[in-house]
Amino acid sequence: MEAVKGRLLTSTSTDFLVGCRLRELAGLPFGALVKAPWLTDAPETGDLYGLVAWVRVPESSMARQMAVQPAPTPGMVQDQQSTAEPAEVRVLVVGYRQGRRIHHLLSPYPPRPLAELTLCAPSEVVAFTQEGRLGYLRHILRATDLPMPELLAAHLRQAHEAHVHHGNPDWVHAAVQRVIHLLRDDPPTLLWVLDALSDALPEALAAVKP
Amino acid sequence: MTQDVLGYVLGGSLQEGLTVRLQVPPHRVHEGAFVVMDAPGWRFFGIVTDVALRTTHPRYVENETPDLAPALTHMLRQSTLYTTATVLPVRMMEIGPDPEQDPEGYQRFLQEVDAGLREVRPMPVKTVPPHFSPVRLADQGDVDEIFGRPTEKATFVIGYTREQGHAVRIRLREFIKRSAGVFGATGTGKSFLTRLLLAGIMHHDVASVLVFDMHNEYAYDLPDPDRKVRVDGLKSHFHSRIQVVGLGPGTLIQNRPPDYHLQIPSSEIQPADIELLIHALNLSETASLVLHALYREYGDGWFEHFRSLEIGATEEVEENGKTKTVPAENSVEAWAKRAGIHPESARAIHRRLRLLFDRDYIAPDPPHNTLQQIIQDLQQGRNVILSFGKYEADLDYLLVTNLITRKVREAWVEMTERHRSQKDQAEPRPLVVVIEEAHKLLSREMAVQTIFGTIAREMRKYYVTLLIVDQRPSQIYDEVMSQLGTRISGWLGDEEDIRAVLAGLANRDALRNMLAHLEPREEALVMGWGVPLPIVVRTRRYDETFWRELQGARASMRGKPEDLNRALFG
Ligand SMILES: Nc1ncnc2c1ncn2[C@@H]1O[C@H](COP(=O)(O)OP(=O)(O)O)[C@@H](O)[C@H]1O
Ligand SMILES: [Mg+2]
Repeated sequence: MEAVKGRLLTSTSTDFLVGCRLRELAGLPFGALVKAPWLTDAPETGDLYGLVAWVRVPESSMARQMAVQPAPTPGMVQDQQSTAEPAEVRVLVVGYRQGRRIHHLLSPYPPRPLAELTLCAPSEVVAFTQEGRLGYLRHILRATDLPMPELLAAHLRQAHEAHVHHGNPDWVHAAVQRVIHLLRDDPPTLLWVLDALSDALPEALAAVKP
Repeated sequence: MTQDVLGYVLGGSLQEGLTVRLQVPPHRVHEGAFVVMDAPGWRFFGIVTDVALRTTHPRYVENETPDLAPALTHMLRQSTLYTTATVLPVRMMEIGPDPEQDPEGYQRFLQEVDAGLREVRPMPVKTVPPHFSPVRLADQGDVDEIFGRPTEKATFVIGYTREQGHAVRIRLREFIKRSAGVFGATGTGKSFLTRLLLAGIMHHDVASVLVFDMHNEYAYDLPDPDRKVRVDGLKSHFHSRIQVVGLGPGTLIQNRPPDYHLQIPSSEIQPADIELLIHALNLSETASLVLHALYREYGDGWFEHFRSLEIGATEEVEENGKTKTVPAENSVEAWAKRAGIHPESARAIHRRLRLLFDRDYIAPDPPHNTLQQIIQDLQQGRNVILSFGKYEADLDYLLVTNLITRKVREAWVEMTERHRSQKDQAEPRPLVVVIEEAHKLLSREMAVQTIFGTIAREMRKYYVTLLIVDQRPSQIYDEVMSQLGTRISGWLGDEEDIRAVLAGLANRDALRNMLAHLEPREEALVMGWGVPLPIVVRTRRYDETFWRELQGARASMRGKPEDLNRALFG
């Protein structure tokens, strides 16, 4: 059973906001693939898949005071981390699962109220990202209100690691190919994205694959 | 057969050609390549006229691309940079439904073809293949479809496609239907190509050939200075089917006696023959006057009479008891006085014509009527190579070619008219007259005077056509150039010459580039109405292999042992 990282606060068709304890953030890296069950009467179970796209850590009145202390003690930091005010994690929807099938489309249903957010295991990352024609990349590339190149780079690096672990080091090439294809009519954006990928995946992209 | 797809049609038009996105590296596709595009029901044939480098966005070819990981740069280039070829569609042919997808429809199609309800042949293109039609290089079957199959009668391999070496044939019967031309700068292989064509025409016996061999190179074997080998003359292979005729008595051709010598009876020379020589003989404007006065007085004997006159001959006559010196009866001056011509004009032309008076190939009454013999040989299906021997001057070439061709054509006109008026008279045998240095006879000025201009214009009306060989096509009258059916041209350096060779053809821009990019030798562009599609060929080699192929395996048995080895083991 995956550990619950947080619960749903609000949602739209393209993203949802999750509240979680500050310390859970350590297990929710930027770009990670996460999921939350959906709201439906249908007999089949389903999850929305998304990427951790943006995180906001709220301010507390204690923090304001402690920030100006010359040297906060470890205990003070500890207290701050267990503050009751939840951190907000914005999840960009990239697909969903219905029964056993994975789809790279927006979910037909929103996440359940207070749905539990869990981190996908590497095997699930592999299963999701190797589905179909990598169509989920569309959702990332379209997210222009986010630091999209960074998000994509972070996601591809994590997904690449999962694929390497499962014996498929070439997956990342197909993914990059797809990104280039989707963005090639927008050279400024594409060149930004490739620049970020060069930083994120230096070893994987060092050699030219025929 | 699934062949390598070079790319797919992306757009374009009949006028400007189709844009084909290549999926192979540009070096696989050359300008002038013959390609095939299959569309549902139809096959299109075209030629590549241009190859271009493209990008989906100019930004991708600016220098300022950031320092990306090598694999990224590679992938980026692969999907944003590409090559297109421009293909000019030229022919299209119905191919019926896809036999795999619609076997019944295909069977029906074949039945309709067999029943003659549908005509399946490449025809001039009238539309374009649809978007994304695959494009491939023509294979041997496609080349045969367009240019002639090996099983077709009287087809002849003239060369090979540049990319894949497919044999390209010409249909000889079509070829001789109209006058044709072989062009190219000196040394590009015109004479060798002409040898090939003549060997083909003679071998398939589609016409009689009369060659005016100004440089004595077609009849007998001669050394090739460029390759230090011996080049077989046509006579060595066609034997008695070729009559080698030497101009003038005693003439040797490559140190060998010809089959017979030509002596032209002086009575055959007409004033118009001399008028052609105005420049060659440096005659004045008044020459015509003199010539016509002579002709009026002596008729066909004018040349002989004039030859017998002397300049300044005088005689003494008694007049009123005194002795006076007057122009003699056999003097040019006496004749001039009688004819009402200024004596100086008559003297000038007599002096100029002395050049001709001294030519031994003109005789008052030659023992054999070899001029008639030439005509007879040609009528009887033999070929005649008239070698000029030591007579290399323009004067001789102009006079002799024009006079003989005039006589030959007269004979053909007569045969044609007999054939047309009398049912039982056979159709005249086609005749091809080959002239090297054709611009000498077909310049703007000459073409209106010589018989060659007439023949070029009347096309095949009398079954006589020309094969003109020339290195300066720009100096040939453009009316003549535009009459040529098949034009075969090697490399040409001069812009004017290129323009002349292409005169009157469609898609000249494309052809101009193909012509400009030919190898300097042994490559030629074959074009014109006589061929279904312009194509660049590597010219077939004229060598022992050629003769072996032409004459079948029998000939190889006569060869030297090493030749035999080569024939057997390649
Ligand atoms: N088809 C050919 N086969 C063999 N050699 C050729 C052929 N075409 C050209 N050559 C070579 O090129 C040289 C020049 O060819 P030639 O026909 O004399 O040129 P041109 O008549 O155009 O001046 C020849 O001496 C020969 O060595
Ligand atoms: Mg020559």
